[in-house]
Amino acid sequence: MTLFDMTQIEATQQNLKGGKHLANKFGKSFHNPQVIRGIIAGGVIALAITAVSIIFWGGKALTFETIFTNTTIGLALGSLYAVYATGLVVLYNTTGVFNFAQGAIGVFGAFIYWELHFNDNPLVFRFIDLFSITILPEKFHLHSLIAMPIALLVCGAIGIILDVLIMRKLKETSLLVQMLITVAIMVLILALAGDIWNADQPRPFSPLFGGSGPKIFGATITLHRILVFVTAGAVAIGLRLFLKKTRLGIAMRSVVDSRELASLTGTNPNVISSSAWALGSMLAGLGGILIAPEFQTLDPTNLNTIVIIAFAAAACGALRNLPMAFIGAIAIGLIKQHTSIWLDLSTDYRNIPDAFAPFILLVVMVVIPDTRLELTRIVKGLRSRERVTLPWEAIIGGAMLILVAVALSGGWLNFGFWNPSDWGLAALNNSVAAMALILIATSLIPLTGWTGQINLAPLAFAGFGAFIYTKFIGDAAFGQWYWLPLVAIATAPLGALVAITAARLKGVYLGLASLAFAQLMTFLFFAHSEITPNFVENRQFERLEIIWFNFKKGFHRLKLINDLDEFRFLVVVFAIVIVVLVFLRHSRFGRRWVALSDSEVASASIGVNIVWTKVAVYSFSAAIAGLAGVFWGVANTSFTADSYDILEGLALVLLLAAAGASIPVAGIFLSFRFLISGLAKRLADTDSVDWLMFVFEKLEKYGPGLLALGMVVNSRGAVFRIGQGFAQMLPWRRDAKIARKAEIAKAQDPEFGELGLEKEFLPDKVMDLDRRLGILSYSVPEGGYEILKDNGLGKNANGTQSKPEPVETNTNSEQKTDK
Amino acid sequence: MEHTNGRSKFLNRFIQSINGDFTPLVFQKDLDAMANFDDRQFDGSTLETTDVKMYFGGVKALDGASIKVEPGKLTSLIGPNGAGKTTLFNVITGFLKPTAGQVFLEGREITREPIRARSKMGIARTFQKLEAFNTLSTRDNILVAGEKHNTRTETPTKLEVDALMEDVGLAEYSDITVGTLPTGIARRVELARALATHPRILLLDEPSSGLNESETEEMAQLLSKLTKQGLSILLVEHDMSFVMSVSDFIYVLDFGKIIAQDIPEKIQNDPKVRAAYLGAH
Repeated sequence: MTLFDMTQIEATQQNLKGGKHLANKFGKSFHNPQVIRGIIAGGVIALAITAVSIIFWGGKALTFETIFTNTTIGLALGSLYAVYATGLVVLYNTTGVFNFAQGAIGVFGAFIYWELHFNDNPLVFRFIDLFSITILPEKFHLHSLIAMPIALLVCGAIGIILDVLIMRKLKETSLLVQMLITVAIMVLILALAGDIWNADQPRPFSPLFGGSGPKIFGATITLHRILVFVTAGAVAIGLRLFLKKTRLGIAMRSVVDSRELASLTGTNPNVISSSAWALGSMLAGLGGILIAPEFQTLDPTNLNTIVIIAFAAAACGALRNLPMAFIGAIAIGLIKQHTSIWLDLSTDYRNIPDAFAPFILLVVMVVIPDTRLELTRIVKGLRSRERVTLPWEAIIGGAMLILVAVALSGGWLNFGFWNPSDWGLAALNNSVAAMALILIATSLIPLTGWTGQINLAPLAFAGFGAFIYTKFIGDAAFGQWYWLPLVAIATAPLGALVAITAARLKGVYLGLASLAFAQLMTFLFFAHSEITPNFVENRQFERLEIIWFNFKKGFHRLKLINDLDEFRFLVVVFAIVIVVLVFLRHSRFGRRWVALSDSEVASASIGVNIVWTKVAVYSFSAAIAGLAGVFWGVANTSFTADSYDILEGLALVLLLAAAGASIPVAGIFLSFRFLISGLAKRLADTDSVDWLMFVFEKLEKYGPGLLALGMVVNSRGAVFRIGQGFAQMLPWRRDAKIARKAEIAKAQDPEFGELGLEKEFLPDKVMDLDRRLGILSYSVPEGGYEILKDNGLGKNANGTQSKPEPVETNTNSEQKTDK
Repeated sequence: MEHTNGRSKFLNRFIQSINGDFTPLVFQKDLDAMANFDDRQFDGSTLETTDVKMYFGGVKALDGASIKVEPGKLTSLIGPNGAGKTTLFNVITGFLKPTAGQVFLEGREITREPIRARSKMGIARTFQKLEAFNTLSTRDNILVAGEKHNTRTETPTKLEVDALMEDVGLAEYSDITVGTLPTGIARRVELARALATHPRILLLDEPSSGLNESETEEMAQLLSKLTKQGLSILLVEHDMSFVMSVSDFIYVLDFGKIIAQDIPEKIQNDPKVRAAYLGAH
């Protein structure tokens, strides 16, 4: 029994007790750590609200009318968030997946509704028009009572499709992968919505009942808002009853704990999970449709920002508790509305009302304990040898990378067609940007890949580093290279801060906390004029001056004014970072980081200081990200908040995960995106091939999400596979060849299972034939083929047996000769 | 791996590093010392709990449990399911802070010490549910536990790790990823990892679960070898014949209380113990 088991038991005991002795409930509940933590979280939030109110009080007269009006608006807003949040909570309760795509599905629902109800020329007809058939009148609007169910059904269908095609196949993978897949789905759906409904066209979206409603205390309360409030309440209560009382609801909750057990009781887990997804997606759609009138016009990215608020609300209920999530949503709605009315905010602090949601999310995620036991799901695969790139391999690889990059960019290697001067400035700038982003992604490798700490805010660290550079080094020190470590040293404490606050968190909780952190940085830090001086003339990046080497001049000072030099410099930096990472992975630090990701409980039991280990890895990661942020800024020439946008950061994380976050060189995978955009630009420059341009554009847009979906089949990442293939070609990697053979053997004959490794040692095919025919009575050959053998020697694979590890001795001697 | 061929220390260190090995250099004296691994001695220590109480809300998981583990002895803790055995383990190792009562190691109170401090003082444990570092190799599992900062001693050399793996019967699995090993062997990895922290007392939570008969036999031999080398062991186990064969002293826990304590032969015939196991209350 682990530590987390205990907290879970503790919580359950408290719940039981509370139910039995209602009279004692309030007196004793103070002994419940969760209640105490809840009170702490509430206190911190209340303190923040009070402080902000005192500092920014606008001095408006407090009349009953304004208070009442804004409270009703706040309640309606809160109810909208509640609809989203209940969808999240229901899905989390029934499938164990926290759906980051909830907002995106809501966006989709809102657009479908807009097409059916508001658009003069709906999508369906535009599609039919493609075939030059006109069957319906020019203007066609469905009544909202018809349009809404259709939109909701479409959302439900999306949910079912997601479950059947993607989520169901993720049962065996880690929760981290499941979470990233939903992030990928979010990015994909948003991109799709942006493509179908481009943002240029205004799409007015009027409230239901045309914004009319009764006047109460001199304030008009629109029927739309009343309806929203009633709907949200009904949904929350109805769902709670559904989950607690109905057979289907109880079945839904049981499936999350164990699909196998649930199926024993006669429920079909697949049907259950599909209905859960349908339900969650329909709630998202409902939320999207109801919230759309709060915006002037429909815009996918705008609408999606709501999802952070929904996350915050769901967090208030520890992602599981519907009533608490509802209360949280209402509270956020009220806080947002009232702060935006009563506070007098300068442009620097204009985002404060919006920033409360991520703030609450962060506080709650940090304070409320992780009561959910997140089991490590071990997929027992082939018995495999641990093989991590050796430092000398990394050194040679890094040197080769530098050589190839310098040669290619200098045009020395042209293969008869390659001419870098043809590529123009745009393409080179692209390569610089690519290298910078690759470096930012690489900063996640020790953090996410090794220590298992998901970080959805890599660009927040990068942005902070860039800020330090523009503020202190670019102007004052004229970009001298030796000031760069200052950026790293200044960014590292930010990482340490995140590590200390998030030290107890794992998985989804950590993902949410980092997302909230990124959002707060965007709202408060990057929006401040001290950070980004003014929106028209942003702060420029001073180009770096470095010590460089070439054969003509030897070592000399070089100002990186052109992109070619910058690109080569970044390649060198990248190679150095990779070598450092590989050394680290073999050091006791790297080992401890990986151990921490495997089992925190066991790490503690052998004397590892978990908090300090996390502080170390976060600081290290932040330092690399900060440095890379400077290079990313240089590629963008000026410091704008947009370059450090959250969605861009998510795409980065997705691409890295798709590549394989534990492999130091995985970042290179990101260059594909820039290769494609470079090609697209090149095509635009010269003879443009329209359809090819189109393909490239779409690839650039959908690439990250689609590639991340690749984790469904290959959770270790694409680079891992490529590396496996590549390793077989290396003369000193006999182990890779043997592993590959074993894999092929298993693929051809899954029944052999672990025997795959030893298959080539089986005496002959007759034995195999015997096994297939079910004849097990042949004599046991010499060399220890026994049926009675120790655990794990593959008795289950078939009746026969082989020696435990004949391959072992081979490769051991192999490795010895290696060293 | 024998860096005794007259190369300079610096060159040896360099070659070792670029091969990803940062363990201390191995010299001739280490090789000489290797001969003595078999009569390795543990500095076994006394562990005592006095009247430990652990309440979860209204449930009394432990209600005044006092046990004592003598140095170099194997003490067992048995009892029916839910008797509080694992809870007591968690209290001793610091995973839970008791509601009342104290834990002493070598006469020093450690009730409020954090988990890692207890590990450094020499308390090592295994887990009922396997908690190995699944993506690391067997060798790395042992190394990570033996490294400086984690223990009172220096980072083990490659030879020491090899010797430990040989002892526990893991030599052939040294480079295999532990997550892909069968349970029985992974349990041994966990045990080797605990031993690598240079423990003074070892707490084993159901080491024989998931093992077959011959593996259990090997485990019993290994445990008696360890106690002979001076290590104190506290064992929680369901397999009665295993417990009776290896224990020097047995505590029986039921409903959070010690209901009997004696040598194995007497425990076997204790009517209270039988009643507890049969559920006659």
